[in-house]
Amino acid sequence: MTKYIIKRLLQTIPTLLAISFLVFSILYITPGDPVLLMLAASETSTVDPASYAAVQKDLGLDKPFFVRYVDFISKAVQGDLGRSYITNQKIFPTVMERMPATLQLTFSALLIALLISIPLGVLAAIKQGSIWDNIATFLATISVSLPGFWFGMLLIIFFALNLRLLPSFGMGDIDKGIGDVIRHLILPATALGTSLAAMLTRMTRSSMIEVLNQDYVTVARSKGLKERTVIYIHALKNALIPIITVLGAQFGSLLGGAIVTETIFAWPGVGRLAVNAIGKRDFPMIQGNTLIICTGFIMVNLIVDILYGVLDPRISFTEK
Amino acid sequence: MNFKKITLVLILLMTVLVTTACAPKTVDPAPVIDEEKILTLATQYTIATLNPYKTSSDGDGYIIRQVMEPLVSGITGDLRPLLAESWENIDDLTWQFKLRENAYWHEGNAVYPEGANAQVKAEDVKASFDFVLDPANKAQYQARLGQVIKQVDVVDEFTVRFTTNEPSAWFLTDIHRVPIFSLKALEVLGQDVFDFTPIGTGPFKFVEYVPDDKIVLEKNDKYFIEPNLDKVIYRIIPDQAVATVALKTGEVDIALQIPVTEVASAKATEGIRVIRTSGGGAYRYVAFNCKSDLFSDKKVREAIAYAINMDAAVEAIFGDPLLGERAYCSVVPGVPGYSDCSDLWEYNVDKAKSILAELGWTLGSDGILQKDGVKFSFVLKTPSDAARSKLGIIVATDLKNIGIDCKPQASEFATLVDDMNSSNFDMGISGGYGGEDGLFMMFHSTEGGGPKIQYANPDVDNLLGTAKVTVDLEEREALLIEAARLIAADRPHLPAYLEYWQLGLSESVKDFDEIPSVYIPLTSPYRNVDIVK
Repeated sequence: MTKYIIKRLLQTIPTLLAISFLVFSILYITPGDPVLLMLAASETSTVDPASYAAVQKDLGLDKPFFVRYVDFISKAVQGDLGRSYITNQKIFPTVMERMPATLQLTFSALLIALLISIPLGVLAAIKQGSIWDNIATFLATISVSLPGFWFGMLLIIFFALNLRLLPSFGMGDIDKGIGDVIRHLILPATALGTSLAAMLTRMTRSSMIEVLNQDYVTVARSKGLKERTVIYIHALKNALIPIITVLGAQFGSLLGGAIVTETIFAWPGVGRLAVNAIGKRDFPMIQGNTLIICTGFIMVNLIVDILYGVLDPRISFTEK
Repeated sequence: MNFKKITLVLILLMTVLVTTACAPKTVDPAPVIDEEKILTLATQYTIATLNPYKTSSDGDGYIIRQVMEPLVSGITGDLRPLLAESWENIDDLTWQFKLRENAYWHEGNAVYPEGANAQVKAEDVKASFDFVLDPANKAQYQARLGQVIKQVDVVDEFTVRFTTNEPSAWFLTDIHRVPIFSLKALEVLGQDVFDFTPIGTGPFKFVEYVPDDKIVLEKNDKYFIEPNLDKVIYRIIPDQAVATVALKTGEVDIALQIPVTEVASAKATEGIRVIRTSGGGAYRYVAFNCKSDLFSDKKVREAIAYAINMDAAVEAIFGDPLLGERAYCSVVPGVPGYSDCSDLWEYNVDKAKSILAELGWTLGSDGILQKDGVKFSFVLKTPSDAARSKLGIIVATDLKNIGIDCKPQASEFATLVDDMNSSNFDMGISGGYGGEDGLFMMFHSTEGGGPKIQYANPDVDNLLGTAKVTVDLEEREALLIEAARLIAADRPHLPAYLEYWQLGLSESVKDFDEIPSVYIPLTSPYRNVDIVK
């Protein structure tokens, strides 16, 4: 097991290198000059060439592509992701400062997705072809097709503006109690979690149907076990394995979705930081942010892989 | 765990969520603690810095301008004393400012403890300007101010004198960009902390900045006018539609920008008013690259001007003068140099066609004009905002009617700015300069800025160059008007419209309307914003 984890951790190095190179290259070819943006060149002003050259040199943007990339990587491995072009703040602490907000949002979305999808998927599977199955499938299809920004806005208009039940924006203040935090969390987490819930409902349904047709389930039933025990102890545990795989992969898309959700709900997380950085061509911030998020994503997938072994002892980590 | 237990846990969890969500029947209004008067504003801008000499963003300015004071403040064409009490022009090159003797650096922070009573004196003003003028400090306005200001001298404890390199018409506009800051604060706090801890002399003291969430200010008890507000809280809400909802629900008192699509619904909400933000509007125009193959000939530009029904376009885009109005001149009304140039523009498709025919353009079999084997075909670069991308489509449609193949292409903002500022365009839609030096910046062939339209008219250069060094307002105004009319006749721009921004505010906000902006202090000799709930 330990050997496996070390091997997987080592594998993340080339992955992160590839990601960093990709991000670096994309930023390099993206139009929009960070020097001009830094000097506040706009529709209404241009900058004096001397200031341009000075800032360009200052940021190291006068160097060739590969020199800049190697500079970046050699500093990054020492834990120095550089400073933001715009705010001049250190990247790593700036991203990490916003990480708790994003994690709070994504895990709440995950929780909401699981609370909705598992019971609904199981219900649809055990009552296959019934009205429940149709309702679950219908809801899942609708939810998976909802664009996040639109659904978020809809939730705000309905629950914040029309019903005045929940706040329309921002993060709660723990000083005002846990209730304030939860009330601020419900709308963004629902907006973010809904499409995942839809996807997981469909996964749970198909996975459960497959498992329920397995011989060991028939054996369990023939032993006279209660149907509930068969479903929740024997079937669900096995049906969860593919769901957990999907969950790991979907964690990345939750983080991606958080970019839109955080912007709509004025949620001060990593996604907002990324959007601002992209708009301002804050290259070090975009690179640092992406690397940190990707590292998190890889770690989550690693944890998911390890969880397989716990859920299904047949999966072994030792090489044969 | 059996089925019942699992179901029970799930039901409990859902109940907790739902009951917590639904328990209070109202949303938090802007927080009210005892009798504290708190004004909550929604701003869409992320804070880049709260350092006055580094910032280039309006959003940063909204906060900095409440905490720190420049010598003069106000809107374009109406600058009034602030940290200075008065000023005089000793001669065309010398400006002398008398400072208020009751300005103190904010107290209760790491630099100035309570009771420090540190007065702001002429030497502080000189120190701020000297710092900004030193290229080593990389201040945002160094290049511009460096061209204007020769030296700054202390005359006496509360009098400071500026000497300019040449007579400077826009001197007050230039120095109003520089809030006076404390060099001691920079020294004590260090750069990183100083960048996000503004300490100044303004009506509000900085309390807290929570990144991407909020900025809290509290009243400065030592300000020479007692602010009506106890606290000012800026909530950062990037989506303007959400900010409008927050205004309607009472979570904020002012939404600093109401999107065009939400204006009608906000106006219809009881207890909310929607007003134009201060300033004469943003000038929007269609620009030609005057050295491109297609548009270097003034007659071609003239034909295009005849072919576009700009009045109809502006009506179609806005439909409400609160949002946008037709522009005929490249100067914003209210700014020196503005004149009504409506007599210089006409929509006349026949004239457009005949000019192009005279120039040798003939319709090809594909319905597109051509000359010497070259088709009249080009890309019209536009920003991606709703109004200007619509304008691009309307212009292209009008031009198609006379056989010109104009392809509108909306670009992401930074890309467009890059293209326009490097003359990488044939025709583009852009936004103009609303300041007093607008004409100079847009049309001076060698010293201007912004989009490089490659327009050069020696008469215009001469008029603008003279205006720049004419301190007398009336004389300057006459020169600018003459230049504006010459420019309009040359057609480097097709003025399209003046776009206005709207802000929404609760009826409970008082004394805000006269200068509807937070780029100017909420408490000053000219207003004292209040909230009465």
